[in-house]
Amino acid sequence: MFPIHSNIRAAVLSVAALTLAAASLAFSPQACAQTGQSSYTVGQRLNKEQIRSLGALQSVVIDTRSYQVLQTGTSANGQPVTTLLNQNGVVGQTHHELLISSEPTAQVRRQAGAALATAAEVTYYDHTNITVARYASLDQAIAALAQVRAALPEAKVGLPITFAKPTLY
Amino acid sequence: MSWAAMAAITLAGCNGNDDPVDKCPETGPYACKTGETEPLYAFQWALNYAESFFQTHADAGAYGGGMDLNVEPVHRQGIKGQGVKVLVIDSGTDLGHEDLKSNADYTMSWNFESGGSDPTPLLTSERSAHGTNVAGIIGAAQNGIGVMGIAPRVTLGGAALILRNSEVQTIKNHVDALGGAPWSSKADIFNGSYGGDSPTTPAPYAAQSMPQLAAVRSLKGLRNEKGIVFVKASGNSFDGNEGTECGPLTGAYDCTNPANDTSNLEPNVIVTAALNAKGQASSYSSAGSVVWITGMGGEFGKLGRYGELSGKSAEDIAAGAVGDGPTIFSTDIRSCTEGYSVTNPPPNAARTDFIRGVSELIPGVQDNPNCDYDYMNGTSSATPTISGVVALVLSANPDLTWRDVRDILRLSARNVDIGYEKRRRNDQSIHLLTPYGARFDLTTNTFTTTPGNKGDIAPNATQVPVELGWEQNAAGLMYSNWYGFGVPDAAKAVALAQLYAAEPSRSRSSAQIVPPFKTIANLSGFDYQKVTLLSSVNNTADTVVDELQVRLSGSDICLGSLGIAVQSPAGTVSILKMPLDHYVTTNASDFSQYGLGSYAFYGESAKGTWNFYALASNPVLDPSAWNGQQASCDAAPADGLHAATAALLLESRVIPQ
Repeated sequence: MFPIHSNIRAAVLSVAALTLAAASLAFSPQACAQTGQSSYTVGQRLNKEQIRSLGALQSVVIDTRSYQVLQTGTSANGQPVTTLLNQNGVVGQTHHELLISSEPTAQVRRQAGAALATAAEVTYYDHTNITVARYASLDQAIAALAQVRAALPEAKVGLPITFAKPTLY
Repeated sequence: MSWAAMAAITLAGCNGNDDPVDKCPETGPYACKTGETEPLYAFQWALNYAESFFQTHADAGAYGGGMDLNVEPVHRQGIKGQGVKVLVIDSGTDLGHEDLKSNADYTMSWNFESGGSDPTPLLTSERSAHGTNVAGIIGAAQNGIGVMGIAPRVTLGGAALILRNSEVQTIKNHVDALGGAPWSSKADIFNGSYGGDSPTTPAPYAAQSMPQLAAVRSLKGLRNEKGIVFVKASGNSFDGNEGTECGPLTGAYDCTNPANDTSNLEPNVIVTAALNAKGQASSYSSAGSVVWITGMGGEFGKLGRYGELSGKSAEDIAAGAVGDGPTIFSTDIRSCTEGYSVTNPPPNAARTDFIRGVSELIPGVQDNPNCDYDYMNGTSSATPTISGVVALVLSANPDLTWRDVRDILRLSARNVDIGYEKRRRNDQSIHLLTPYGARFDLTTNTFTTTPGNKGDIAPNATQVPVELGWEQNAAGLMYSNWYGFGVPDAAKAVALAQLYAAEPSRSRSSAQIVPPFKTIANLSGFDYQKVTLLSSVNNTADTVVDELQVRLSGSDICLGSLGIAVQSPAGTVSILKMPLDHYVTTNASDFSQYGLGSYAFYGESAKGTWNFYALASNPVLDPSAWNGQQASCDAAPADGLHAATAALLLESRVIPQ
């Protein structure tokens, strides 16, 4: 039997998610809503002078590490994206995707349903015990990270930030 | 009767040497024939070294003393990849190419940029020919035209994912491509001629932080629980590129590390280095202790009509110099305006007659009139040569697990370039006065002229080698950071695959127990410019080593000045990280769960005392020697010696076989 690959869009709930995202952008003075390409490159390192010139930036904490938000917005294909700066001054990026692995997806559905209900899109990879949930805003994803971890203490749950894109050799 | 069963009968009746078998399991005009049926086969030295065009037309600085993958005996047995499916995860693949279309499977393909099942690069923003080259090296058809793949009857799919377009670099897309989606999960082999070194900030080796890790680990349960075989490139950074230069030390050793792509730390990823046509490591081939095997990548092919010239003088060649040389011929995006083979190549590209589509090996007959063929170098090319060999192996025995395949590659491998650590580099780009195995002075960050050996790595030493050459471990296995276990012999590998079929008890389960990391040192304060024993751990587990892994977390410590070496209970020494690497230029001083690994101990007993050493160079660098790059990391102490505020947490684990 072929492994089940299901992709569930939270169509109704995504309206609420987008509303939250809009609120987050409206009330965050550092956030720069934009469409299209970021003016930063993933992996780019900003020097102290460049960082200083940015002024005060919104900070977020993910897995005990602090990041500064450079830009939030929507990519050309309509996906939300946030550009961040880590403590070494390196530019990273997230599409607000939560990664849950080493946990059967049935268990994820059963125990983390509430946290995943606020996601704009959830993809369950039943045959590999992986779940990917995408949120409309980074704030939502951070909140869901804590909730899913609490609900699934045995699972590996993360909100990965990309600091290097794969390149062809 | 299944293909594998037919092949088994055929092999059972063969005489074990290069002679054709009595009964060929193939039919048709190409049955049990080698690539001699293909017009461009003369240039495919990786498939037939001795009779290639280059044997008689190249100069001795470009060709000679090398080898091929010994695929012809396999092809003569009629084993050509039948029944095996390979997914090329790359920039896109022109599956409609005349030499690929008969092997193409669009139901095993996806284009993440266009959102459809046609992975042609013309549908992506980059229009890159990279993936089309990779596919041809693996499985260009045997059809009397063009080139021949190593497994010319394999089934090919393409995933257009490795693009500069950051919009496709989502976690979901990577999980989809790595076995998550139905189209990718039906592959037997993934070819990944790409990597994700992170020069500006070290990536954490943790599944929750690196999405590819979770997906790669899940591959062990696919292919009917035998595991999808993932063959991946080590990188092209030996000489530095894309900001990974190592200042005045560039080219003396690889100052990056294939382990910086955390996927390469996973045992079920076969990390592949590159060999050139001189039988030596390609000048760019990234080296490190997670390299498993070596394929064929060549040099740059910029000179001559087909890349046959080294560019070195007769005097230099007589003195042992090597230079440029041929690369790997393959399929290109169709047309003379797209791909690598174009009428007017860009200035930095190879601009030979062949690449421009105007060469004539036979007078009056153009070799490449439509620019549909080209050549490409890199570990990107070496990787599909190994994927091709794996396809032959799985064609002969589809019941092999990923661990069996990895072992068979190792068991068939030939040690190459013996004594390379005694050589001095003198090629097309760099001339060095000291041998690769010379001692590196940790106080001055320069090489001495004195050869080193593993005995130099001892507490308080200030000079250590950064290249140990081939080392035999206590299990009797030869390992090298440059070549892994060596270059596979396809005929031997296929014979081993048949032996496994005849004796299934040889097979190892796809499942592998991976223990958690354990903290083995938690240090406050750190001494640079010498060797320090960080931890000495007595392992009581009576297991056999597959991979040794180390994970580092630190603050206020210059990662670029911190090398790591490990000594096994049997005395084998492996250098997992160089004492001065590309992190010196990026000010990496605050890092978490930075992972390293080594296969140098493969097969040894894990029981006993393991020693973990820091090989710390001088973190205060001379700015004038570093061409304006960041000269010293912020965490470097003023005297370059003792960092009182530095903190370093060391974790380790032995992954057993």
